[in-house]
Amino acid sequence: MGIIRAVNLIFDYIRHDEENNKEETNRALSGVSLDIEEGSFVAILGHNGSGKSTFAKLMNGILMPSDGTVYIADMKTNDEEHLWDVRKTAGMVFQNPDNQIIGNVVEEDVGFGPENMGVPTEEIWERVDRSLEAVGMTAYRLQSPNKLSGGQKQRVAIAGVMAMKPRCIVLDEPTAMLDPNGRAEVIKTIHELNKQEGITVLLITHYMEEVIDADRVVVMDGGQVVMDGTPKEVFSRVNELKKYRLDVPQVTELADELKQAGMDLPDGILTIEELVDELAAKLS
Amino acid sequence: MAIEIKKLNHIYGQDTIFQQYALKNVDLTVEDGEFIGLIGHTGSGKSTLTQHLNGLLKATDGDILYNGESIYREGFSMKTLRSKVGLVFQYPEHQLFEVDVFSDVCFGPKNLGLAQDEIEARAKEALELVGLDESFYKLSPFELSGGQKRRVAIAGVLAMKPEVLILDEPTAGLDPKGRDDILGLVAKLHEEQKMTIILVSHSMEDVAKYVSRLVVMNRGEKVFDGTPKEVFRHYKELEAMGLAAPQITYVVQALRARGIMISEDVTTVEEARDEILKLWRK
Amino acid sequence: MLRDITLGQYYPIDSVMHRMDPRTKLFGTMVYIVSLFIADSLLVYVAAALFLVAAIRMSKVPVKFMVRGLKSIVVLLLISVSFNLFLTPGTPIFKIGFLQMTWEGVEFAGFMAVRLIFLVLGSTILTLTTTPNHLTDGLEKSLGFLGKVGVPVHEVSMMMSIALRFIPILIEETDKIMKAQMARGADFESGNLIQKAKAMVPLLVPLFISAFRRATDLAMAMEARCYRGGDGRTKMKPLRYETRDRVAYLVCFLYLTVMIGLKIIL
Repeated sequence: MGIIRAVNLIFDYIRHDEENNKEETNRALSGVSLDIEEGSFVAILGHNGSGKSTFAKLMNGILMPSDGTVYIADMKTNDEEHLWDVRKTAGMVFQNPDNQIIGNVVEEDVGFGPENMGVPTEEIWERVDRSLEAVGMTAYRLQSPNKLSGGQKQRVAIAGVMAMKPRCIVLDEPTAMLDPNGRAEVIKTIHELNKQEGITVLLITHYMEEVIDADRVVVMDGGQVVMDGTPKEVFSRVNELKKYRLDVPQVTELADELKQAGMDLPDGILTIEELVDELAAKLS
Repeated sequence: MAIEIKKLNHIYGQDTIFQQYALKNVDLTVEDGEFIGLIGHTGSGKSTLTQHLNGLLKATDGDILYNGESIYREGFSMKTLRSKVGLVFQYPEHQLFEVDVFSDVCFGPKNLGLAQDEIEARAKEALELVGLDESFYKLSPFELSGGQKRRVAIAGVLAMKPEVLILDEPTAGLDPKGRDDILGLVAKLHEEQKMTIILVSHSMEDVAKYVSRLVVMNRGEKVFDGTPKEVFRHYKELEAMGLAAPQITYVVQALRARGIMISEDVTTVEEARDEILKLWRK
Repeated sequence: MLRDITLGQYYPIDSVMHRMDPRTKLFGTMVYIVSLFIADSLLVYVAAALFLVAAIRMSKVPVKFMVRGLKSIVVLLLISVSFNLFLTPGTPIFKIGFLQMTWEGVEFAGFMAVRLIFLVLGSTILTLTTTPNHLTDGLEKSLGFLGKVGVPVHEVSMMMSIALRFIPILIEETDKIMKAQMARGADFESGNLIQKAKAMVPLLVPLFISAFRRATDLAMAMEARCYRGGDGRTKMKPLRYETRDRVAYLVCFLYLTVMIGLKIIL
């Protein structure tokens, strides 16, 4: 059984009018079930409004399901007594890099989580040192977060979560507000954490290039899981992805168009090298 | 010509140890009716440059001519300039403030001191141009989706009837569909309204399809200026600046390195498909 | 504009004063303020001046930098001096209409000015040598006893530290919003007071909305990192007194005793 298990999740956003009566119900998730294996790198794709961010916030008890259950390491998120253990186990990184850094100095921000957990001072320092090292931000430890680039701020945020020693990290569109350099920086960091520290990663995004190295890609649309498989499997269904308002990397699109024109190419080409190898063989 | 930038310099913290060139000797001429992509990563000076074009920032030295007239000439009306050179900022959240969409779009023309019926006529026209019908007029701008907010923000500037429209990262934070919608809208404004457009972005891949000219900025300097095809030939230098050329460029270059002589001018998926099929069928 | 305020901005160098525990410095500042308020004769002021000079030397902050900070209180200084000059009863020097300057007034105004300058310089030493974080930590610890009577000391100090983090962000955002509205022809400078106030609406609405949004996001991020108030929290950088702090406390007590002694004797 996986470290994260979502069973039949339903979530409604309820709007109240001035007299606190129910005015409008908006169903963001309608029956999502997902089982995520410990140590894997899973990407969740979907356009804005597909329910992917709501799903992320249900993973560590920021939101509670309207119906259904989330188990984090076999603990129910809506179990009051486990709430803090759930949050320790499943760390969360948010979209806006500015709005999640609390400390006025990089190292103090990284220590914020362990401080809250009541970790002894000496161990906090060890954890902070290690986390900053893991995201490659040791050189900036005494700086003010305001002086950092977007990508660096997100790495500090990731270090802040790492210092809580979670078993998995949920990242809710961590690159949406970054430029290409910052995006690459953050994605590389997450992959390293996954490989070297064995941390389970749940990456929520709408950028295709970021998911081609994932172990598993889940596509959401209209509050439901509509596609689920390896990147190769998912990206071989170009037309379906476009239907869900998602992009395909240019090479995948080109390979797909060439196939439709009659060229015999394998399914789900994801990288430039793959496509060039195939084409070189056919054309020379 | 619409805008002529001559030897523009902008220095932060002049004569201190922090002295830094935000813009260094930038020369650029924008012709009427052009559609330009202004590319650079964060801190390259691209946003600083656009804020000079409507007088929000003043150059340390150098000159900017608008329709042949220096905007730094004494008595030049910055207010008129700002209505002629419309600038839409990155985040619509930074400008939306009114109770409903329609009043918000009226803000610009109202500041121009126009008559009420003219203000409303312009707001209606602008909202129509961005594809928002009457059902949106009375909605609060804060309840709209990211893409819709962006449309309202663009309408708010269009209502001033600018001749030049500058959009700073208009697709930041939007999903692929939202991004294509906004870029399609901008392309439509260019074609149908004959507007001069400068699109600021850090993504080559996004803008290459639409624009006829790319200007690349790096560390405050203009480094490349030409058609997308010309600029993408420098893909190695672009990469060194942290700006990747579209994937197709890499495919083309890799194929050429293997002795398959596909034309270097290929930059889009469609062109690549046609060229490769031609070679394959031969 | 807001960025130009030098009064009390942390001056990042290394000195004994910088390394001192913030609680020690808070105590020292308090002692100094008290001593200024009991001072009423020349000798006492000389003692206060000596103490101040010693403290400035120990902080290694350039005097020029400190004096620049005084600019911001010039107006306040002028007002209090002129009030004292003309409103103190006593032996008149001259009289213009209802305004009368007295010898007592001159003396009083002089002392008042010195007292104010000493007060500002003394308390800026604290902020010049202590990072905002350290200061908040110090306040939280020093005022910890208030927690027992129901004052939310931890919460207040957490709020202060968050405010410190977000002030530069909000200043930058204000700048961006102003530019975005100016691009739509907004005018923040001309017009009378009412027009100016009205012109602020397009600036303030987006700013407030953004601030609220940031606050919501931040609350969520803090909860996600297991924040649940001050109870059971440990510290990454707990405050610990060193020898220099003990010496400083001793010096402060001595100084206060001398000042009180001088006041009683003279």
